[in-house]
Amino acid sequence: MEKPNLKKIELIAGDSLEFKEQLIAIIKEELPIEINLYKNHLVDNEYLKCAEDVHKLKHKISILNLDAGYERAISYENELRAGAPKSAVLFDETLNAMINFVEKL
Amino acid sequence: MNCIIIDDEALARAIITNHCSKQADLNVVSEFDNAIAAIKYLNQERVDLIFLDIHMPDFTGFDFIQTLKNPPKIILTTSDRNFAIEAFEYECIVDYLVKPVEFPRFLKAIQKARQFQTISKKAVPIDKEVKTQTTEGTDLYVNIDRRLIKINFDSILIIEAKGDYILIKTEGKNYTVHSTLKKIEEKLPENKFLKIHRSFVINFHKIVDIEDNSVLIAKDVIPISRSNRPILMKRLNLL
Repeated sequence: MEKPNLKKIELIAGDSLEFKEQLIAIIKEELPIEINLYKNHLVDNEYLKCAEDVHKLKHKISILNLDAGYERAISYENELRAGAPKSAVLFDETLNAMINFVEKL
Repeated sequence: MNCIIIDDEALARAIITNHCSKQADLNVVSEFDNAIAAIKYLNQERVDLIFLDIHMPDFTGFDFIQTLKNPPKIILTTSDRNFAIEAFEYECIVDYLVKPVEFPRFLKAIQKARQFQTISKKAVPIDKEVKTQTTEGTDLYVNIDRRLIKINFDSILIIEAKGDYILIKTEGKNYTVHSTLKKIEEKLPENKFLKIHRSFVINFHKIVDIEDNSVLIAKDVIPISRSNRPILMKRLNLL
């Protein structure tokens, strides 16, 4: 399974270590909030809201360089919009990988 | 170019701000995490370029564009790699960027913005829908049980579609009339009334408050449909 990494963040930040650190700090702050929001909506079976949450999370998935995770998120978002979220467990794996990675930064 | 950034994600705003800081002619004058706050700002200030997230809760980027009478240049941002090109129905839209936005791609979009011709046409499709018909007088007569009953426009709170009938709620009384919303809309003065949902026309001046996707009129909470929300927002005298 692919693992999150900082390659894309480093590409975006260029030579600026300060900006790289700023991006990481924002991700550390925003990611748990976005994941919690998604999980709460999922518990309440609010699938359309979950789809919005997944849509928003795609940016974080992409910036942590998870290409397969991004494709999975697209499919899962569509499943949620259709009211049949079959890939919730798989999507959770992506979220867990991200949160574990970010916590160690 | 004075720019603003509208995105509910701090991460996205930080990246665009940083990219802008590397261009001498770009000046980020403000950032917004929601479109409503940006509308308020734009009622007071003029900007040359907006970086606009398409996908925000409650109020999409396209909803936002429809509230602007003379939109500046807009660069859309999106998390969708397979973004649909509805965007280019709007002449003000210069380009779109997929998040996370990498600097070389950002530069291309900025080059397009620099070359972009001054927009001469309004990009507000809603204007096409605004009725030109005006209604004279202050009253409406409705046929109920073979009697023509006079209803003063100013007394009307809400008109609700109910199958083949409409329910006209006034400050004093409610009337059920065999008609359609479309027919009565043609008789109503457009400076007072507004359709905010396929089943509801409201007297705009009777709004108590607006919360999320509903308006409160007297004691009734009326839903605002997604497609009608920009029209309502455009009519508000926002502070």
